[in-house]
Amino acid sequence: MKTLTIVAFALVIPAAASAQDGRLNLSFLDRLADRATEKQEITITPEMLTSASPFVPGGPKGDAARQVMSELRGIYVRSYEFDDPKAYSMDDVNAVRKQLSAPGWRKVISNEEKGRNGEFELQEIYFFQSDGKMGGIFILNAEPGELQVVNIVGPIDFAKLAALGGVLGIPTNLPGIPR
Amino acid sequence: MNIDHELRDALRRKQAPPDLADRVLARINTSAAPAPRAGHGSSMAMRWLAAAAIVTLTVGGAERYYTQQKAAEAARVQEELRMALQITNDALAVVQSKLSQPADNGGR
Repeated sequence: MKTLTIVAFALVIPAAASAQDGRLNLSFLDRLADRATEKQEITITPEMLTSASPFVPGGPKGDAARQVMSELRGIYVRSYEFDDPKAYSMDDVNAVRKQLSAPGWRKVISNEEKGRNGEFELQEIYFFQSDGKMGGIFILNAEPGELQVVNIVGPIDFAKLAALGGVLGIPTNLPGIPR
Repeated sequence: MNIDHELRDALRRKQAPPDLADRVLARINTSAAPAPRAGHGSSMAMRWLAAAAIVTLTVGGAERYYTQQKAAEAARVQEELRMALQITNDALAVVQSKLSQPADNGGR
């Protein structure tokens, strides 16, 4: 059965002020790393962004990329692929999702599918807002044998992120996000 | 005067002059002091120049090493950033794909 929920961006009301930032604890997923056949675990701290910023090439795109890097407060990515389609459970995913009930987090997109044999798929996007400003995003893609989790902390402007991607040599279009 | 008298007169003990000791000591001190060598000042300057060159090379080398380390670290961060955005891109593409699929109420 497939359940699809889209919460219009207009309905995302500014969250109450919160001392918390948009960073989530992804260490709950560390135990999955041993089971994975392929994995990418990326942790980019604000300090790393600051140190790398002066080495971004010059020009308008470079300037835009440097601005994004100066504003972001961190990028945390966990991507795992498994031979066994049931290598991880919903409980593993929920260990991270529990944190999204904290003030400031709002679910904007959710797609859930459950199969008869216990398999499940879950795609979700959450935004974190503080004082009416975007402070982070959480992207989850859980499929049988595959799990991707992305947590970007800081003001998210997808157009600027695309500019950053262009400077770093990846496609500048970010699918799924209206520009 | 015969030879005996001349010999006795020559060997007679005579009193030393009163300032003999002072003069001998003064002579010793004069000969013990090293004579000023030509080029002593230029040797010191060379030593200082050598020390300055070593310090300059050390500081310059350390600075170059530090810059290279920073550049290598920046390249590593940029590569991780590129990979992170690529995974974000891929994840968003999956979400978009799922959203564009018609709802399937028949199960899987």
